[in-house]
Amino acid sequence: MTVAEMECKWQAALRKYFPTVIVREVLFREEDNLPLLGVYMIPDEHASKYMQFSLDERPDFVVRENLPDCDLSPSTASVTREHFPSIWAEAQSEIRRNASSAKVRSRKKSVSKKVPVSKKSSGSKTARRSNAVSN
Amino acid sequence: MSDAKAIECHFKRKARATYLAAAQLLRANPNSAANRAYYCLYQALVGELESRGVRPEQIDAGAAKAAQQDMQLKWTHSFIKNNAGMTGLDRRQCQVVRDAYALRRQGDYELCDVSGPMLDEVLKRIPDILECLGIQVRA
Repeated sequence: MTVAEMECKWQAALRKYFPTVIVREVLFREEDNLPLLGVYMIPDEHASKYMQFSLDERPDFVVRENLPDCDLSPSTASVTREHFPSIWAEAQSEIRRNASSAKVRSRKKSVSKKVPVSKKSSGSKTARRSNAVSN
Repeated sequence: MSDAKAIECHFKRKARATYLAAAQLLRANPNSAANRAYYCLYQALVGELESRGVRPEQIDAGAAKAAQQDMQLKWTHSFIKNNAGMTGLDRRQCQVVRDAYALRRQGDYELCDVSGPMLDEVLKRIPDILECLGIQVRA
């Protein structure tokens, strides 16, 4: 398994618990045969929670999710912003992308909600409200 | 006292003092506290592995290579953090060793500082591990 594949697997698995994290290889290593992955963008308010997760649940989590063995170096969002600007920028563009796709989704939802309502008889309370919005 | 016992006592005495230093440094200097937190585990594990007659140079290629330069170097970080289970620690306790190592590396070498709340979680779990290895740190 390549390091890029390891990053993907770990990121996808960790996002089930910490949806904002980004996982990237840390290039500096001491004498070691295990890859070292950095876990960035851990919300500052969840720093303790992340570490509790790592200490208490990670051994089972690795088996359950069939994750490759590696060491993880955790960094909070504020540390990421200050010391890892390229990863911070990547996180921000992902947040913007998600926000705009969420907007599109909610717009589509509201349109699809209006359509069946407008087909109902115009006498109902809901239909009148819906017409008022669409007009 | 046998040589192995003397080495074990020496490392475990150091491990206790190193843990107490980590606890004292936590608020003022998390980077140094992370260093001490990992090394107290490292010293305790070396002491225990010595007492059990473990020979890392016969098990691990990295340790064998390091031992060729100097026998004292055989206790590599890689060997210790990946073989803590040989001392009887359970999987969660072994995970503490690995996370302590990651924070130590961060505090020693990276531009960023170690997170106090994260280190706090690691430090909370260390006394139990030391007690499993025969080191009393609580009053």
